[in-house]
Amino acid sequence: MGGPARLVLNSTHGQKLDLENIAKQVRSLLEALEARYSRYRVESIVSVINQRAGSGVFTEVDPETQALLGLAGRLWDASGGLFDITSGPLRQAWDFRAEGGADPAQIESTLALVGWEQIEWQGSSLHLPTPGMEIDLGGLAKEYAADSAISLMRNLKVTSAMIELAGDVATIGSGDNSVPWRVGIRDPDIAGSLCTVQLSNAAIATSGNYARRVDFEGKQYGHLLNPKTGWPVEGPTSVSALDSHCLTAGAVATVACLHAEKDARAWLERAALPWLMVSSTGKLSGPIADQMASPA
Amino acid sequence: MRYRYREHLIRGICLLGMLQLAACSSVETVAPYDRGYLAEEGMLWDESPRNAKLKGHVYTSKEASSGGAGSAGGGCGCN
Amino acid sequence: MAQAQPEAAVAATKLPAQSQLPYPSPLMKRLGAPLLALPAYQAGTALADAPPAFTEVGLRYTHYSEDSIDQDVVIFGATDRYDIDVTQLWIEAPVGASWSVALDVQNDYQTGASPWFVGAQQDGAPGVIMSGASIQDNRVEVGVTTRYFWADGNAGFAVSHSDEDDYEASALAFDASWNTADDARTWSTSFSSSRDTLNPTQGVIPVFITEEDLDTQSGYFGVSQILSRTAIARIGLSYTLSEGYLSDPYKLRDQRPDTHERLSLSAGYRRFLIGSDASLQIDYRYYADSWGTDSHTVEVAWAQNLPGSLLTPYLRYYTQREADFFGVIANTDAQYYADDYRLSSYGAVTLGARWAVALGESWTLELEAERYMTDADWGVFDGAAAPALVDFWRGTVGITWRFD
Repeated sequence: MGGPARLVLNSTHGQKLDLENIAKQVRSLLEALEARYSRYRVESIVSVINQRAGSGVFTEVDPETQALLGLAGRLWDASGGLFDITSGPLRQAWDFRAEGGADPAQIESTLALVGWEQIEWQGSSLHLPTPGMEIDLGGLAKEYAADSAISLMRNLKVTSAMIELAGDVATIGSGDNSVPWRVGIRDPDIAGSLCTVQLSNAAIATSGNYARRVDFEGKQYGHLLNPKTGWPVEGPTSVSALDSHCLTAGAVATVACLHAEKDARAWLERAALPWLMVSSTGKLSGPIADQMASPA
Repeated sequence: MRYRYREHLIRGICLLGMLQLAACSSVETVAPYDRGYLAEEGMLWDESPRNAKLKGHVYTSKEASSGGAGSAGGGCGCN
Repeated sequence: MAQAQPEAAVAATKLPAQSQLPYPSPLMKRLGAPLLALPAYQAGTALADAPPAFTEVGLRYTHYSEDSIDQDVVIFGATDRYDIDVTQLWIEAPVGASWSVALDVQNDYQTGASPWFVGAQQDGAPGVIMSGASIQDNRVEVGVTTRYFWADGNAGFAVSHSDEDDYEASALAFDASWNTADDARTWSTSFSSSRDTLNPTQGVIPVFITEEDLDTQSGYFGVSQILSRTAIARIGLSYTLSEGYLSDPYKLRDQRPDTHERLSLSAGYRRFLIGSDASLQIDYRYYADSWGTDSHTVEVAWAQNLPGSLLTPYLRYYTQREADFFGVIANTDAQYYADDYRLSSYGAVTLGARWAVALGESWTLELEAERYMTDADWGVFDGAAAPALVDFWRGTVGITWRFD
């Protein structure tokens, strides 16, 4: 899943928590989830499914994976096909690590390998029908890991904690002195933060199209691709959303970034979560931005 | 029991039997994580129980019929 | 967390504790549903059978207005029919981890005239003699319900009492429902018992009884089943027995049996249409009773998701068969007789719409209006047309507040 991780744990008055031990358990949990869902790990369930693409062999998935796939399907439905975990092959067509852009002919042929509706199911087993197809649970699994860590810590009686995984943050309780956790939303263009949100038993997830920019034929493109056309999306620079859990907040933010800006706004209003959008021109909008103008 | 009442009862029971068969023949298993659509506001049996109670009350006082799903009880001198 | 530059601003976006989230939007409920199978998402989320996570207070006002009766069919009396103002107030709150309590108060204020009896006009056509228009009546009903929740179901017990000048009623009701292990099927049942006492007021219309009682017992049994990821259905059966004084004391010619058995079979279907982001709702009821009446009721509604609200237009069709002892002009030589239009054969159509709007996180506004129209020719059953069939408008506005 990549990206930096940070954990802050507090023991409140009267508690006798073994914070070192708890931190170690959280680390093990995160490693286990990475091993299970990362497409870079050969033994992960995602890699096993991808290796069997086109082979006719179905792969049984456990209830946890079923739930994540269930969410992926629900997002595919709700976003009109823009959120699609089978869009991995398009990455290769747009070689973001190298210079230069894409070969339109290659994009066309790659589109045939993309499409959530193509996945074949037999009960709780699935199969990718064409060799070269792949699924990627990376984004969802990272946010799920944050929520799982929170759940583990609650079970271990932690009442004050904050976990940050590559920019997504989830919290338990409040921070020092019972003041809510103060979390900055990163400014996409310059170092530093756009604003700070206060979280208490809540999570904030940010999705952005600002990493790994590519210049192609005079236009700048982010790394997010539209799985229906194969071309980069022309949407907001970044979207942040707040919810009780990281995974649901992240799902909403990610889908918002896949839309054109005005459609992103409509999507965010439908979700009715507090949100912040940074447009391609740097303009801020959303309930979080509105509260910045008049701090409560 | 009046003749018409018995005839209506038989008709009702046949109807119930048919509905039961129709329902049984089209049941799919839906995994717990796939029940999102069933939790939609518009999929509830009664969007607002107080509203359903009021509507039921209005119709019961203006028509000869009463009852429906889940109802029982209450009285008034509505004429 | 170190900042490279001073904070641009502080946003007070504090959400309260996990279990007390503002009511999630339909989209978030839909997205979150696959995750409910995972432990990380279960703490604090509303499970199938747990008390509500919040307290709810609500207020609704309804105005009901019947059309004036056609002057042509009135032999004597006022033509203005009923106008009723109904106010409902309630509070429902969780108590501990497994209980909830609700208090409901309802006030009905009614004015207007109603048919006293039906006679023959000079040309032989039936005509209505109406009661005086000075009837005013206020009814108050109070009910308390307690409910207990366990892993697979819930059960409730309710007590209610209603009071008006000439009528008093007390009722007890019990209901329970169970989910099967996979939550795909729910069984439900309810029983109720009520005792009503009439003390008709002597006024413009002479009444011939001073005090009478009636007792009603009712039972319901039903089952609801998930059919697919987008459809559910249910069927139910209810039986009601009333004994005592069942006639209408304010009608001159009204003599009904002292027992009344009623049976109703109901079926319902709900289907969510993903492409339209809306639900189709179909309900049917077949009713039959020991007085010779039977009826069909069909109701079709379309619940359309809109940004921030749910709009549900609906259509209801009702048709009933006249009671055995009904006569347009009552036959007072028979053992039982009544000229009450509500026991005649007719059909009725209702067109209405309901709009529920979310105002912020804790408030919901609801608006509903319907038009009910009756006509003896719209029914599927034979029978003579009663001249006093009624049409009405009903409008309701309500507001609900949820908080922790």
